[in-house]
Amino acid sequence: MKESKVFKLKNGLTLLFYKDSTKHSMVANIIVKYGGINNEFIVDNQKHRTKDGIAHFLEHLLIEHSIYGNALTHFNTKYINTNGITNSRMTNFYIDTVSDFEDSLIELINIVNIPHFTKEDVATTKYAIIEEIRKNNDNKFRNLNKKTLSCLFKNIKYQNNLGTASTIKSLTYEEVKQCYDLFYQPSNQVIAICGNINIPKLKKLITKAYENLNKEKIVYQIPDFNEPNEIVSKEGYVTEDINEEYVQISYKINISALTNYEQVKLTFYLNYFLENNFDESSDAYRKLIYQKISVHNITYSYYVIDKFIIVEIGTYTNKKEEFVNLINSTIKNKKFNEEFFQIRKNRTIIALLLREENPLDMLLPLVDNVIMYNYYENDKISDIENYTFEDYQNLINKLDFTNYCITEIRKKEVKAPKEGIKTSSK
Amino acid sequence: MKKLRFNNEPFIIKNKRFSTLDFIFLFPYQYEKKDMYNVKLLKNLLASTSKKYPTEQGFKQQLLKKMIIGYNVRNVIINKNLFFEFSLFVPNPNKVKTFNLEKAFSFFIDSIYHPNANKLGFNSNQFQREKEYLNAAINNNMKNIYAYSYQRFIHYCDDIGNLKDNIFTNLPLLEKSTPKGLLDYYQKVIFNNEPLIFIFGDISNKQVSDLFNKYYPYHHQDITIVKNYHEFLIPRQEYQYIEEISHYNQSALYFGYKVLNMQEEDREYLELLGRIIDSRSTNLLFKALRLKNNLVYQTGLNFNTNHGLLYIEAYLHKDSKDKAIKIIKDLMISLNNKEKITNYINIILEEMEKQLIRQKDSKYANLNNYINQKLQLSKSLKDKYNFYSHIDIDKFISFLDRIKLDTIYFLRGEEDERK
Repeated sequence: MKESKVFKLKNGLTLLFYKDSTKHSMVANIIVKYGGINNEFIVDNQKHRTKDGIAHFLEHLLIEHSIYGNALTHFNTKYINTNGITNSRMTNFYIDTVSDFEDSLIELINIVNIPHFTKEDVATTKYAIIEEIRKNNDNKFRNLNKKTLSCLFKNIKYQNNLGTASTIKSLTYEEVKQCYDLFYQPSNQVIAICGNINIPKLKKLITKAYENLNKEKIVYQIPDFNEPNEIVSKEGYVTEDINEEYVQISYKINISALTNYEQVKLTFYLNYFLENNFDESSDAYRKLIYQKISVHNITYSYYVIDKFIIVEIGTYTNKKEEFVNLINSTIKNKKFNEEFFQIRKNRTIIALLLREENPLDMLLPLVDNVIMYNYYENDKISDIENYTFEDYQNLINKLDFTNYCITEIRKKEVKAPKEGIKTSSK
Repeated sequence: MKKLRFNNEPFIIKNKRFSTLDFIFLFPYQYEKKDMYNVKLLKNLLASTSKKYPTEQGFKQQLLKKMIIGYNVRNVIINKNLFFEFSLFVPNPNKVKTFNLEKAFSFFIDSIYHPNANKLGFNSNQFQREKEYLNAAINNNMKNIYAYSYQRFIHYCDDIGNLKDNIFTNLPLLEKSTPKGLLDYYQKVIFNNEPLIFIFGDISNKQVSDLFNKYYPYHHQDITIVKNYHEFLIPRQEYQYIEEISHYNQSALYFGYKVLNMQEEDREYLELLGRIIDSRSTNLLFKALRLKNNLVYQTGLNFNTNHGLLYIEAYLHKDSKDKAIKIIKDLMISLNNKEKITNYINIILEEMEKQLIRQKDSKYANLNNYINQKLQLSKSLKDKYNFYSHIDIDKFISFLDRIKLDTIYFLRGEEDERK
């Protein structure tokens, strides 16, 4: 038996369930709608700005210093997979288990909702995070991403989820606790569960667990970024020790005029559009190869920040101008092919059928719809079947691709390392 | 040398729980160093073009039109054994009525047996492009701290060359590859070779036989694989310490352990040792380096049982090196304790019991276990569980005495706090 259910409790907590009685694993996610981008809030008409990286810091702090000790160790000794993930929009704590699910779910609720950390714990947590930041500083594409965001956004001062080593070193207990009290309220949480589960029983269990928490409600607002459609600077670059230069065009597109459903639909249409125009079946790719602009594929992706969808298209090339012209002319002279629209639509229907084979593949797109687009429904085959070629063209044609920046990873000269010095010891 | 004998009749692994079908053609062949780049070039060319669809654009369009979910070519090299694997992943026509299995299957067979080549060799433009792509991809990868530090580690640790003689370290050989040489290689390893065939999903014997009779008629052939999977590295008498300098923010620390007088049965022991140190349930390495001492964000352990190598890698600040070295050495010494080992094995067994339940949800666990067992590549989780359940602890402890630290490699990251 397979079924999907969505509930909203009195305290504002959202529950998403996907039941598949043929499976053995059960997965629970507690998602807090607090991510790297949320560094401003208003309480009592007063605007506060926090340091970067607190959402991610809190994820570590709650896991490493929970009421059960280190939550990773706690769950791992029960053979339960667990971890936390923070992105720009949310922090997710999860467990994945084949046994002892209900008790472990209650423990996960307690880990997230009963703060147990001290000033000393805040200090201790910094070490591993600074190592994580050092690791990320060795990631050339993260550095490109930071540069791209600074070119695209005027008022959104978001660069990454981790913060910098210096901001993390300077964090205080009070700053962290203030963010916890504000953002970890039940109304700002979503619990998403899948597997061979009893939905009514779990709903009751969760309702009771949250009633027992008896959390004080703090009223706050997230200020509007008032981010303009225009970009800050047209070009930017980082220098890195690389073998080939990389060029990326990032389009900043305001999608606030679209309804929540249309925004979800746009993600499907945008996939069709980008695949059709930039994957190996496309004319742009053929030109890229024949004109020897690159020997690599064209990479493309998109993500949502605030009211904007950011479309990124890039490749390794030392022919920046030719590549930028190729991409811009392809975007300008948008090609729509009805045959391939129908083919991609059919493939989406197959992909939705295949999602049913793995409960997590059903649950996570629903979580995305809720968190990213405020749309409380699963993607449905019947919706896809109703997609039309005309609607696809209209929606893509509505997108304004005129605001874009070009960012690059340029080569930095680095001395080749010398052969190592061997010593033997015993 | 042990020989495995098969015939080319397809193995059908029936499973009604999934809405897809998988066809896997596995061509076994003896690997030679001189062909290491031909393996990669052939894989890339056969995965993206064919005689009938000679451009990547046309080939990709056919994959879309024929509703093929996945068409992949990959290779697995184990010591001297090479397996070229072609796989076709499609919807089950019983569940997706608009899907035409015959069209997809005939495209698959055509792509394997009719590449974009003439008698002079593979299409020279595409060949040249793949060569440039491969060269660029290798050089791009070597700028990454993880690939770079591992290659430097095995450069020092591997005295035989089985691990360090790879595509990252022999680029002049790539230059020697030619379209004609690649065609000759293709004919040897694919065209004139016989594949082992595996089919997974809800499909009847009659459906398979109808499909094969039409597009891939049987001509009964025996297939022999010379099973030559192992060549164990030999530990040096005294371990070596090597330090190099890099411009990365992080530093990389590697510990390489080898087994004195390693035998075939030691492979299972080596894997068990890896599980004891780094499985989720015991987590000894992570606990020691991160939870107790806050030296790393992440750390890892890998074991290569075909070469008898177990290595630990940790990414940390350059100033943490000495402390980390001491902690890892102490951790390894602490394992030589019968009571502790018995306890850890019990924990591992319980964890494996959960994994066995979890595997029931996994589409590929059945298929992979089946192929691995047929080819004797590795034992299934269930077999390993049974082996560990009946393990002789004293024998395992004496195996631990033969584990020798061989190499400590430290790549010192000199750049820090730059961004």
